[in-house]
Amino acid sequence: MALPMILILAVFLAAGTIVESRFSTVVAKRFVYGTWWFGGFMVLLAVNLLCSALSRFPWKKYQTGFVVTHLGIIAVLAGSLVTQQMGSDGQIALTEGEEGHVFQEDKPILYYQVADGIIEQIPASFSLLPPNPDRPLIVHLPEDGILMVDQFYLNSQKVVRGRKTEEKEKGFPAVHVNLDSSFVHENQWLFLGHADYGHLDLGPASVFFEKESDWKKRLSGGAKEVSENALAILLAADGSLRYQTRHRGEFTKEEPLEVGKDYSTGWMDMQFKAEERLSEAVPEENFIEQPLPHQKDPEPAIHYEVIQGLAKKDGWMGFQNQTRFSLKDKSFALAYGPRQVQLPFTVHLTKFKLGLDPGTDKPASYASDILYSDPDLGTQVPAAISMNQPLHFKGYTVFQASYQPLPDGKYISVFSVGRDPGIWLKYGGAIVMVLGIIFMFWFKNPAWGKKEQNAT
Amino acid sequence: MRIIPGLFSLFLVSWCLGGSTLFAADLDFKALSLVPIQEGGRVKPLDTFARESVRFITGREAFEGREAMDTMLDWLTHPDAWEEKEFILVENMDLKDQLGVPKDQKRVTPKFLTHQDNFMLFAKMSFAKQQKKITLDAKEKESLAVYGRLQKFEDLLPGDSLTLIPLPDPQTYKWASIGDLRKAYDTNPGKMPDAAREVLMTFAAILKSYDGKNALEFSAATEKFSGMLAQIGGKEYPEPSKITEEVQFNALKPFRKAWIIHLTAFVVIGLSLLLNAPKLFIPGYFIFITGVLVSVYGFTLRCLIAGRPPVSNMYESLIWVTFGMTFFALVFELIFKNRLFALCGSALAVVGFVLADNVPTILDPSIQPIEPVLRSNFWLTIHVLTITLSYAAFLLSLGIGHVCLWSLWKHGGDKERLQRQTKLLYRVVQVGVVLLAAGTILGGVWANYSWGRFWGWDPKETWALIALLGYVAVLHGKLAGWLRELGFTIGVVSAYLGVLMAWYGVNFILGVGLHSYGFSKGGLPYVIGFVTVEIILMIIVGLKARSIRN
Repeated sequence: MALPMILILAVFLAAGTIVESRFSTVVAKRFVYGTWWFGGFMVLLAVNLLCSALSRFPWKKYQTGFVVTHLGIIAVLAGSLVTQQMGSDGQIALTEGEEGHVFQEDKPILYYQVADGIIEQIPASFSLLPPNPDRPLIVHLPEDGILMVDQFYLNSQKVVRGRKTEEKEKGFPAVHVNLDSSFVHENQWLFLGHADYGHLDLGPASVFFEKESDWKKRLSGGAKEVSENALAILLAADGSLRYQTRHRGEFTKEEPLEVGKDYSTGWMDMQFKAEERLSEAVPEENFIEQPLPHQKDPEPAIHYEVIQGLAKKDGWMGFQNQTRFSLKDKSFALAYGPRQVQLPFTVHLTKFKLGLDPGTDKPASYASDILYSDPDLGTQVPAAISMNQPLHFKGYTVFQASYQPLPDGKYISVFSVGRDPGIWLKYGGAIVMVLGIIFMFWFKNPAWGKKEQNAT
Repeated sequence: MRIIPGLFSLFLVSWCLGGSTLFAADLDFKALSLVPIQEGGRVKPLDTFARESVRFITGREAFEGREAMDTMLDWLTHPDAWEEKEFILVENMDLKDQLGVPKDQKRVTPKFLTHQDNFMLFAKMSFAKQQKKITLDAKEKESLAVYGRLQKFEDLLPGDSLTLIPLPDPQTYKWASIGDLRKAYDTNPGKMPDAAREVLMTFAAILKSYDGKNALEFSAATEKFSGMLAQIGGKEYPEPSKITEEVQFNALKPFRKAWIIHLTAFVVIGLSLLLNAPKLFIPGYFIFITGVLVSVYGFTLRCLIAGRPPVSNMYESLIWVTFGMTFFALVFELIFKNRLFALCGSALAVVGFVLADNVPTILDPSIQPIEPVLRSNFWLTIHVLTITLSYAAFLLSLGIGHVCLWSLWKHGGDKERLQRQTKLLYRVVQVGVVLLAAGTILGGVWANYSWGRFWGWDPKETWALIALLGYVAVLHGKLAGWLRELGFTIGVVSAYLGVLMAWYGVNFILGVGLHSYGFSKGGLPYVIGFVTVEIILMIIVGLKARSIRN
């Protein structure tokens, strides 16, 4: 029994790492390590170990190593179970000067709130039976309201399309650009004057969509924001489209641009085409299902529908997003993202310190000066957290995980926060296990040689 | 009788420590090679800088058979001539295709690259992609590497990367470079401090005397240069002994010498076994010990230079595991008095050290500062050393496993011999299992300490566990009596594939997870070739051994 189980486990694990390499850590956890069957297999393994240890009772001296090792492994597995059931593990990101007491666990949740009611939550990892239009997830809200999740994409892509404005809606002039070369393919809607969708940045090259007059102003002002290689699609005062390109800092002449025709940008053998233009349009966000990405975390999205009486509202939500709306004079709030967990104390980030290797911009050390509140004493206690030097408090451990620089020179410091009640069982079991293996050196199995002779 | 092998070892040791074809005959680079330079996050001798730069750009330390320092000085004195020379390494076939370079051409000229607009843009876009944390494919990665090689060459010419002047910037602690001095001189020569102008002039004198191949002037200029910088540096300057140590290490190449010695040992021990001449074994064994001592010396120097144990990348772990394996071979030899250990130990040492010595673009031998999370010598030592020592024991078991395969092939009927050998194999595997189990758990303790969890199914953790399970399965099979000599041997050799995956595969094939500091690329065809040969070998031996048994 033992041998096949060891081999099966090895194969499972190997498959898990390949999934992780092919897709991502999140995917491997969802489809291998975090599944019920994997947990079940571990329990089975523990039972098997226990049986094999007990079946040899009463134990003889030479079996000491064997028994000790197996009991050690059982303890480690039991400790893992305790951790999985009672522990928690997440992240908290603080900007310098910010205080926080909520950390995010790696478990997707859909939060909802009706009017000023309490915030409710439903698990939204959907790992067993993802909702679909035929089998939606239905939650009853107070006063006969219904919240429905009727579509879930484990990996999705946000597509922004130009939609003609409806009556009384304010819009932007929009153009659908297609860029094509042997190196790069890009296909995107640009909205003139829109904060997020007004400009396309390709690193050493960029694409602008502007009023001709604004563009002229930009050029006479020195064209500092225009990269060495650029394409500008221009809206002339008479409503026609024109374009100008820049290659290695040299501008070409402005030319008229016809929709549907191919032009050259002058750099990277790049062709471009304005596929469509709308004089008044708004960006419309949609999600389409995508195959799991290679070596990247998937980006899940859900489609929700809220029904209150005859009124109804539906829409898409990507991960880490929220939305608010009113139906029949009642306000609704939805948020889709990681589970939020309260810490029993607050952490205030005073300063983040990045040490560099001398003369380089390679980080050598990360450290955060923090203040944490002690609710029993009602005081703020200073502490320093750095790599390999965490803070232990109230059963929680706060570790330095990573950091992000902000444009204003400040830093965001990211901490891992965890509580692991099974750790001592795991440590103890591990020590016992290693001792057991070492014992096996001393106490040799007298049956060893015998069996072998029997076999021959 | 024992004096002769002893004397022979003494001769070997003196060859290792003294034998230095360090410097070219006419110009003496010694003074210049000892000048400290601040680069890549540490202060190192210019000798190291030259070797690393030439290796990085051309893929070889001795490009066209010249010393690295010689090549670098030639770059600085004749930049125009080098613009037209093919010396910038391009490895990826797809990229060669895109560039229009024949597949068998290994290097291109700087001029060729700078005139390839599309390539330059492609490299910049790959860089932008990398900044946005988008995964790059092999072609994009290589475009960045090639661009980096070109950039390194171009930064060198104006002296921008020659950060030799120990006047640290108060903010970044960055030393000033020859390029900085040149710029200061070009903008306002009058305002320049005398000392700085003097440094610049002396540097020019070095290049001039190099160009004119004037040995006397060259020596005078280099010595003056080094003296001036030392004076500017004052307390900031590193201990001369540290710098000398590193130059010594570079010149000695202890791990190259180690494989030559181990090869000699292998031949002598092999002969003693083949000719059944036990007397020949004693000198062989002494040579083997010498090889181990030379690598001990190499490790000691490398630890002193780096200030940490040498286990932070694939190159370092390879030489360390190889050394660990020879150490185990020595110990087992002493315990079991069996010549097979010294034989396997020396053979595998040759393989390991030769590999480490010959593929610098895959196994980078330069000494680099390590990732912040690894900066804990305590944990680095106990976790990584335990794990790598278990790899070492398993490597030895692989060697003994092959001896067993040989015996199964040649002496399949000799039951007694086979049992004796598998018993040795069993012992080696047991040592490996203890170390791997302990090392993996220690890794969990460290992970809990610095990442906040004991076990997270990270690929490195998982493959260490899979390798452990593989060996545990084999041991269980043996204990339960299901596996006899043939099965056990094949089991042990196969289980090594788990180690190979945990050690090489996770870093070079899977390339994901938290142990990302060791990730790299390359060498896959060789590893696949090795695995295929092993599998075929095991099938052939298995079939033959069965037919003998029946």
